[in-house]
Amino acid sequence: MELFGNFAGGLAVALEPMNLFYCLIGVLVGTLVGVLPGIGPVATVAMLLPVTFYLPAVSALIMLAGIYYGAQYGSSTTAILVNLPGENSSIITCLDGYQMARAGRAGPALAVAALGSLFAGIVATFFIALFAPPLAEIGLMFGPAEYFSLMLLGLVAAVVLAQESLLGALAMVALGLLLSMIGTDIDSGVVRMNFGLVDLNDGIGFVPLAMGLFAVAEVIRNLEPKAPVAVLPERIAGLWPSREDFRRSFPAVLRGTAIGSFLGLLPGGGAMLASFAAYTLEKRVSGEPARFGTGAVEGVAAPESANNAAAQTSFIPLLTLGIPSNAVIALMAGAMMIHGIQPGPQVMTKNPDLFWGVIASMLVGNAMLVLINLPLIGIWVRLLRAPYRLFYPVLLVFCCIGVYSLNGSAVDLVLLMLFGIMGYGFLKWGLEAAPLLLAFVLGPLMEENLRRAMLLANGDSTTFLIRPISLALLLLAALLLIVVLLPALGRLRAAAFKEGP
Amino acid sequence: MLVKSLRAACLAVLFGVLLVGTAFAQAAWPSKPIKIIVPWPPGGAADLTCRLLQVPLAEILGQTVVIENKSGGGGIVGTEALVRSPADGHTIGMVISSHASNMALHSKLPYDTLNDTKPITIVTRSPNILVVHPSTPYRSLADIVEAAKSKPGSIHYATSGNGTAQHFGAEHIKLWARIDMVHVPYRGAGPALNDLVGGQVLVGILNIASTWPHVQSGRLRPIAVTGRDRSPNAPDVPAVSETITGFDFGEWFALMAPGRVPDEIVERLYAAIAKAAKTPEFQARALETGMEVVLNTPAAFRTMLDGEVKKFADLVREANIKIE
Repeated sequence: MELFGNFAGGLAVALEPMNLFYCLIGVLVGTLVGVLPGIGPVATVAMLLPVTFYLPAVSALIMLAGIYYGAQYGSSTTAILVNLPGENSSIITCLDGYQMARAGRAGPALAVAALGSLFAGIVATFFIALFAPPLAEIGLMFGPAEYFSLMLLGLVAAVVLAQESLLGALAMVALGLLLSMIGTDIDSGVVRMNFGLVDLNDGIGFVPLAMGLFAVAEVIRNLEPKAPVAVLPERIAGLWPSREDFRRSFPAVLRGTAIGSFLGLLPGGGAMLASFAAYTLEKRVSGEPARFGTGAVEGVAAPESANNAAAQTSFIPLLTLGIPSNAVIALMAGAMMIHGIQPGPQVMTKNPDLFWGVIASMLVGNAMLVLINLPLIGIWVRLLRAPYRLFYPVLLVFCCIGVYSLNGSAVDLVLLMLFGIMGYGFLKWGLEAAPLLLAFVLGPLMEENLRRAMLLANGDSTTFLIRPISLALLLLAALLLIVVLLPALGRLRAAAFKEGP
Repeated sequence: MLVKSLRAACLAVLFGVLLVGTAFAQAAWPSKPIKIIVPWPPGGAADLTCRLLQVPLAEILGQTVVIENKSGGGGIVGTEALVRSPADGHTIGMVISSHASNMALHSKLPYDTLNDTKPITIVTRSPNILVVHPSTPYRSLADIVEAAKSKPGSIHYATSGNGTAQHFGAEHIKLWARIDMVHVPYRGAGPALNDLVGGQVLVGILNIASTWPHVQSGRLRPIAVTGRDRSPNAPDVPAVSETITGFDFGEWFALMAPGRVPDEIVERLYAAIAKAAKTPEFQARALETGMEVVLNTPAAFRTMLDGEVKKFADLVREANIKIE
């Protein structure tokens, strides 16, 4: 029962007035940067790092952690309201969340996202408290070959997500991978496919790509002369989810939490992979997969709980092994070092106050986030009532400010508009942008791990089949493909026979 | 205390927002915020060194100090940004040993290493450490060399990336022992440690600050440190130089200015940075993370840089290292 003593001690630390205060600041700032397009948690945490000099280490980490998971909440808000994914983990929320908003159900969508995230956050926190050390070992079992296979599975899942055509989704994945290869090769420093433009040396940014494909494309579509008006004020139904919504969401939240808690342990795109995986699973187990993409509440509940669970469990490798699993958490490792705490396996025994305090603060922070976000829903929804001829120019300006503030580069603005036009084309052709974005984010990670796995195996590509975890992931990918392709092939054959002489 | 730090928080956010893109002609130096370009991601040793300097430097100069991470291409991307910045002394950049090795490794750098950047000072130096996974039988450098000789291609070693002092240190060992080991570059120490601790790759040369906790917890076995001498933080671990005479592949963290910054501004930058790094806070943190504070003069740094460039160029030629 030492565990409960530890956790109670941590809770006492988290509930100290000063730590409560910094937790509140953290989740408020996090919500804000999540809602604002462009500025993300990495930039915010980097900017606030010097401030943490003046704070005790526990307060500093509690605040920075609050920013990190607060941003997950905030970014789903814009994804639902205006089809603008603030973080890559909320791309998938756009699919059904924005459709719900168009149908006047923004309120229920936001509420389900917030409550699902709260549930996932609480479960994942207890998960960390109970099993952190053994869970960290799972992350260690994943080598380069396993990561490559996992990401391949992720891409296959993205193709499987396709609402319209499989071939289209495959093409989008390929395009996403190609786009991700533009820029400086990380291994060798050689610049690839930049067409002689220095501005492309760093590659294409995620923000202009995601904003262009989703938000700007949507604005262009709404400007069509015969476009259905985005949201009619009179169509805005109640703010609260119906009993039917709760019934549909609950199992989705459970499954999303489980997937997210596990995938968060893995370095790299944990939260994003988790949201994609949760959505794919929901669509598979659902009795009516056709509802997905048209405003299914499960399509919001599952990925939102998955990304929040993953955001919490991604702290495990840092707190137990001192190995940061993504850029924001790496910054937190930096904050620990600034305070003279060397991140590593000793943190748990040497600084139990810090370890358990930060974990317990996640419970407090998640509760605060829901308290902040639920009343805001009314305000957000009222925002949608503004006539869209006024609303969309403001949205465009915000997108431009957001993109420009990232690097101060005018080329990024040009890219934003180009991707906007591209995204509009995709809408017209019935192609989906989500698989493209997933491939874009996973591409560099996949390439890096593929090369590393091949180096470690001295160029023997059977390494992916010999290693059991990698093989299992590849088999799962193959299985997923077969399940999806069989009916599609059947249809193709039926069509061929029909058109035959 | 609470109010003060809250105000600091608000100010930091405000400044961050306001400063983006503002540029105006200046008369005296420093007349506007100082920007430090760090060509590595936040959270690493290079980034931390700058962030530890940030606050004392801002107090000494009476100007905000902003840190901008521009990572990629073994430091080339960030250094290129530094070279393209106005030469008014308001933008400086951190470089590490890869600044010298990139010149030898890349036939087409987007800048001229020796003329487009001007040395200010080496802030800190830290040794790297050669470690192995405890499941391996290796207990000394000789064991690893023996294994590589008896079974060529069996040793893979992890580093934080291509062209780092870690990579070159290993290449020097290869050349000296006439053995072959396969280099597996990672993006920074974090991911490399993940695979080392997990036993995915069994040998690694990494920064001692990030690696030492794993040695202490018994998840990694130390073999040797790569600095000139043993590290005061790990006095029981031999130095490679005890086996290979003159072996010195420690990492250094230095600040540079764009090439055309006037010498008197460089001298003032040096004075300010030296003062900031001599504050007790900076000294204490450096000691904790196993860093040695150097602070040599711009002229001494120039001489040392020339030596490093030559050392890496010789090694690239002799070991025939190619990464393009």
